Amino acid sequence: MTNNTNDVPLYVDLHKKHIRALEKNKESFSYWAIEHLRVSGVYWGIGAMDLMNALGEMDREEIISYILSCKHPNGGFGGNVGHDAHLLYTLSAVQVMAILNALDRLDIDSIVKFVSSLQNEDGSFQGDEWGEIDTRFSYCAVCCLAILGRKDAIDTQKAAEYVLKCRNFDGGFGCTPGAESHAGQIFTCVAALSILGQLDKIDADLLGFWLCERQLDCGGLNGRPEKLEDVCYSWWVLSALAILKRLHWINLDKLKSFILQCQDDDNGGIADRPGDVADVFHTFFGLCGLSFCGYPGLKAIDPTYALCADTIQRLGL
Amino acid sequence: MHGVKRRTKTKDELEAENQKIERESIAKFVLLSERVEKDKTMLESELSVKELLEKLKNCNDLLELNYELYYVWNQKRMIINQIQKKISSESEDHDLELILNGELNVIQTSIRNNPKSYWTWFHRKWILNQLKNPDWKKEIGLCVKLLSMDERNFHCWGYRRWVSKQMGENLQLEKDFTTQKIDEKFSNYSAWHYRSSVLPQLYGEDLSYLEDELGWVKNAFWTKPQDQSAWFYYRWIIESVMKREDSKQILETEMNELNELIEAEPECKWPLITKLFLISKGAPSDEDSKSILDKLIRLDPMRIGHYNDMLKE
Repeated sequence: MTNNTNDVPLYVDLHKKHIRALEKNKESFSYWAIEHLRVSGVYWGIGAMDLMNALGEMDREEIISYILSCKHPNGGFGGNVGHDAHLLYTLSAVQVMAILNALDRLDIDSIVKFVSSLQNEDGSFQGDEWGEIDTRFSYCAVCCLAILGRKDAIDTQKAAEYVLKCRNFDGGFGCTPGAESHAGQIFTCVAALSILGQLDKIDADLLGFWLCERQLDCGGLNGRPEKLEDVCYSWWVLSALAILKRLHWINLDKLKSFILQCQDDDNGGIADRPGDVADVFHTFFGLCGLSFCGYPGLKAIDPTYALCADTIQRLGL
Repeated sequence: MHGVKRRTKTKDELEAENQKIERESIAKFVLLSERVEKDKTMLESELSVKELLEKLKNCNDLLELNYELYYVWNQKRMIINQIQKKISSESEDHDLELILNGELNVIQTSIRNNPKSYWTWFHRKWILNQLKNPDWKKEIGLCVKLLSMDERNFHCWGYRRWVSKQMGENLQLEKDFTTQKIDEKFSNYSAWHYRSSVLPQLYGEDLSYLEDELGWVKNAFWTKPQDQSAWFYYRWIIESVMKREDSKQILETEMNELNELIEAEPECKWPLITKLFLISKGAPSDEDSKSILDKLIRLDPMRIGHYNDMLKE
């Protein structure tokens, strides 16, 4: 990886400060704007700190307590204390506990029961008892169970079959059968198929081609043809390409320059594009993108589980 | 008064004002949140339909501040389930269809304000599943309107697909809709995508439609060769053509036409990438793949990784 001397540096200290401040600043509207998905916010924050080798700067016990307080009697986790259980937040909760090496604090059986109860006959997963079906939820279920070592609890063959039903003319995947290819959905489907051992069913050249065409002249990536670049696609597109062993089909130098330009050099954090307001979601995924680009000082990130490589090693995944 | 200059607010004053507005917004949010939370505990007791409707309104007020509060959408459904129970047990006389249609109006406003909320779209489907006589034509009309405002809203396209299935799936109508959208804008990838799933369902084993499709997609990329959408679709049409007996002749014709476009637009990468694709399908070529790849590396250096891999093959 070459270093463009015009690149701004990665403002590691500012980003760490930005993340540490998130928990405390109840006065800011942005705190309340994401209160419904706070558990995921914690995952993005902890994940970012881990990437920056700064996990020790967070209050491990406080975070574990908070995550456990979001547990629902039915075994799943809500987005915040007292919120209804949902697969999205159940995965985030399990990911946080995995990062903090605290999986033993979880009632794994009850989580497994919750997750497996959401699989339908056709192999699809609904997000919760209300029935919304989406391949995002397939990924949440499969990833969660894999981290807990309990893939046996679901019908993995049917789970893969359903994901494959969502494959499109361009080699990509959508949220349900017939839905348009979108980089976010492509990540969830490719990662799910990887966990389920069915990557061979993907036309990697065709999909890789579609994915590498997400890179725009500015170096940033979009999520679908003709859409704007957004830092979070540094994750969705790159992780899918990494799983398909075609990461080099993206110009990583140009992407790195783009991500670095999306930093807020006053308050820290990374935004969706240069000049916009930063948030923890884009900070985490921007750092993930930089990790894929080989940015020095960042840990390696696993493209399937969105956890640092050392966590994956510890879990034996 | 005379001679008093207007004083523009200082940065600090503006900052203080913004903070005040923020504090007031947060206070309002917290208040409505607490009310909805309290309502949830009351749902365990026997409430009248009138009381339940009030609780529903409380949910709507909170959602107006943030449509992503998924647990509030859940609470709305719990309330509606209770309303249905109360009405069907005939302990109260209320028009359920009226209440549910009222919900549709509320959701319509939500969608207009936040057309990309998964939770909102799902709730609309859920309400329609509760109605005895859903007006599917109206729902298609809603899709037409929204897609005229944002032709790439995949939530809306997905919703249209779902509504179409509920209506017994008029595939010709769906095809015509994609034709209209693509005619409006060649770069409407969402429309091309939908078309790719509608046509095989509409025509089944009969591949004679592919000739018209070829003509039509070529019109798109001849007009705007830099738009990638038509090129992706074209690859899929060619893959489908390979199942036909006359695929060899078609490939030859396609290659000849593509070469004409390359002559007209030598700096555009898409015809060149597509030429490589046609060669891979067995089309005869005046030029070898290596020479084409060298051109592509010069025209599109961003993707040198991909082209180098193709060179290795």
